[in-house]
Amino acid sequence: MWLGVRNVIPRRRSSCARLAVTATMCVALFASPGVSVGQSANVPQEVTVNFLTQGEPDSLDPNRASFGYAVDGAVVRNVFETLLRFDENLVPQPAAAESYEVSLDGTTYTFHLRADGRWSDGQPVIASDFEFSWRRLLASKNQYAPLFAAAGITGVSAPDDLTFVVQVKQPSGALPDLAALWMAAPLRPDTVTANPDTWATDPATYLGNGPFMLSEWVHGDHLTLVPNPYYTAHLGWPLPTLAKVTVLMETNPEAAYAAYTSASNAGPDWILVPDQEVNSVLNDASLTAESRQYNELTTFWLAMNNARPPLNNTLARRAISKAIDRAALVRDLATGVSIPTTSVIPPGMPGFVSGLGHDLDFDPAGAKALLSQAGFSTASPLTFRYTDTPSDLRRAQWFQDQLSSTLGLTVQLATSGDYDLTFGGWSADYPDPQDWLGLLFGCKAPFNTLTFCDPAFDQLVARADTTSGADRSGLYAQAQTQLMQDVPVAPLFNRGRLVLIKPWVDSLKLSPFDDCPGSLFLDEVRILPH
Amino acid sequence: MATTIAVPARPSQPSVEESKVETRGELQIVWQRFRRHHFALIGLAALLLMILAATVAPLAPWGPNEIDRTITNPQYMAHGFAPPSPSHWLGTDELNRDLLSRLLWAGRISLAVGFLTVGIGATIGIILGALAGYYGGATDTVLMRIADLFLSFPFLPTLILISAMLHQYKFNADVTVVQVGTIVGVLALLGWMDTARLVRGQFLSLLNRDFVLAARALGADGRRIMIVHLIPNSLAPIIVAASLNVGGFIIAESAISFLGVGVSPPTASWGSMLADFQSYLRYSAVAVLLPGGAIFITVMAINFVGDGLRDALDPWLRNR
Repeated sequence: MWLGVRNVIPRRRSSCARLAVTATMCVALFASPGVSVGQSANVPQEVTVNFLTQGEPDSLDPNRASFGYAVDGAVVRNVFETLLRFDENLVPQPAAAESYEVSLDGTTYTFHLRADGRWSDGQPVIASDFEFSWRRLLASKNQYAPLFAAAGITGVSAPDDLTFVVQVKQPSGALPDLAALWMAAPLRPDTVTANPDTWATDPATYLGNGPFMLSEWVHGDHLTLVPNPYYTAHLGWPLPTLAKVTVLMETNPEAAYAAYTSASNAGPDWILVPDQEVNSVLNDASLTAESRQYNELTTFWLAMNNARPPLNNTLARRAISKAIDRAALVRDLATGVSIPTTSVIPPGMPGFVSGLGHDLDFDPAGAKALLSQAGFSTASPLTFRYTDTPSDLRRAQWFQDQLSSTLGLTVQLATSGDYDLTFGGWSADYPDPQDWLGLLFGCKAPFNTLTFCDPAFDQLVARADTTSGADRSGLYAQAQTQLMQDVPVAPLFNRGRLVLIKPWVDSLKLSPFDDCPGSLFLDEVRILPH
Repeated sequence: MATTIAVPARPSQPSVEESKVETRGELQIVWQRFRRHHFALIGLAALLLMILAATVAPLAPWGPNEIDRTITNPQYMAHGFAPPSPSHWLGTDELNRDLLSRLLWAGRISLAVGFLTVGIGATIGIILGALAGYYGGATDTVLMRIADLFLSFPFLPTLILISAMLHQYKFNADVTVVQVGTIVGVLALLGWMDTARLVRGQFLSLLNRDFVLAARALGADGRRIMIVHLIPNSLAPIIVAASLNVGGFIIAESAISFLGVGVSPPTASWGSMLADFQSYLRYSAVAVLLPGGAIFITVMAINFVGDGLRDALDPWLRNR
């Protein structure tokens, strides 16, 4: 955990040097019109992005976030600055808080805010802004409130303007991650209480302390972000290079793709390639040159009903995991950009153990042996539940065929009711193993829909959750190993994504934890001449 | 003395042994009248072709749910629909299963439902209509009111509702057989009324005929009169109605499979294939025409045959 302070003061060029640079620039400009030395100087730093892929945002109020509208985070995260912010390795670093300490017993976190934090109307950012927002979040019936409650937060307080204190029931290694989530953004008590329902829908009242601010919102069409005039570079976080960001609300991924690939350059400057188009992009040399691949912090798996026969037997579950040819699955269903996996935690985040679960990988002979060892009768059919959409139906039939050809099992498909198998997955709320292990697979976990319960695993996770420091990752690795031996789910693949980026977009960093591609580090993007 | 009387020659008449009176059985008459209807012949040929194709489905090169894993072109793997090739005469569907084989197997289900439903529904209708028409009185009233009750249910919504309810249950037997049986049962239950009314009407008009009185006088009981005398003479309108209903029931089965409450995946029927392919129009505009075309040809053929039968059986229809 990063507990130090980083202070980077930008060096200022001397006036002589500046004159020389300007002169060189002028000469270069007139001498070779095609090339520009000061690249940002004469190119409008404007981008168009299609972040709001779910259309008009449900609510841009950080405390009103919902699972279904996670893409709204792409905007909120850039308008607000949280206490800590994720760096490229997804480790929370000081941002609005310049440092923080944990008490010896691990129950008190004290954040020291930096003195130069400003709202977009010039007011200073003070600790009571965070206190107001966190109280509001914990009191709401919001979908993210259980995450914060699970960390054991008992109280927040602001002893003075620059000190913010969080009390937790027991030591929680994940609290810094929670403090970096966009739901934990500070809010202005005066504006929010004065306009409780409309403060987040009007640019005039939508004040934020982040690198950008909302300048215009044409509801249902787009919104515009411009730099926050009162934001300063600090602690390694730069001033945004972009002068204007137009955020589109195109819900149809095919339309966005068509706008990107059309000859006119009026469409988005980078887009997420829809799954159906991945193959056409990979088959086109010029598009492939513009594309970049990354894996999301998402794992998909075959969830099994651990409570009822025949899958309450660990050997039977392991047999099913060994019966799935993940390479063929990715090829047939996930368009080849996804990555097969045999462990629950995805690569790219702390807690990932490479090679874990390799004994769960495709092995038809081993699967059959395990099945007979488990005393499984292939005569009784298993039920696979799917949602009634064409892609889900196709996927369900794929599994049906796979299990019948590898193990001779009869699988019936159903859209409702009790099930033995279903396709499921999980996406990281925050890049920490606590979000994956305890919350999903614990006996009394809020998100455990599999009726899986292993007291040994629970003990390991409980110890890991309440440890902070270097021991944490070792304990979590142990817990994950235990989990993979229990095989409550058969991990299948991590979702990979393909992004198409116009050649004039520079310094675009893609992170597995992006709400939308490029949203985590939008303030570093630059536009080259084109 | 003998006198010879000249007898004028009789006009030549064929002797009995030489006479060849052309006799035709009723079936032959029907067939000859049917043959005059060209569309009906085409329809019959098409229908027999469909039935033949469905019968030889087990001989198809690919199984009905067999995914072709030798297709490695990435474009066809993400969403299927490989184009026609020597190993797949009509191409493949969204999971790279052979389209032609699936169409044939699906035809079995659709045709089986059509014909079985008509068979069972007509049987129920004949029995109930005969009882109502022969015995009259209270039996007639009760049975006809029951028929009215069933007629008052809106056909498609009731069909969907019952199929959806039955879909919830899990059976350990072969799912397809159970589901087809369910569909046939439900359709027959909602389709016997027309036949019953027809039969009852025929009985009412036939009951006063001489041959019935004669049979009664000879001591035949009700059952014998109904089975031996009345039902055979009522068959003409039933045959015509039944042949037209086959098409209707095939379409009804397609409708409920289209809506997802007919056969379950991966089993295919023409209706469920139609439903699947409409989601994949982007990848193959032609695929959706195949099951749709099969339904269309079959039902048109049946309608033509029905028309031809109606014309062929016309004297029996009119001659009360």
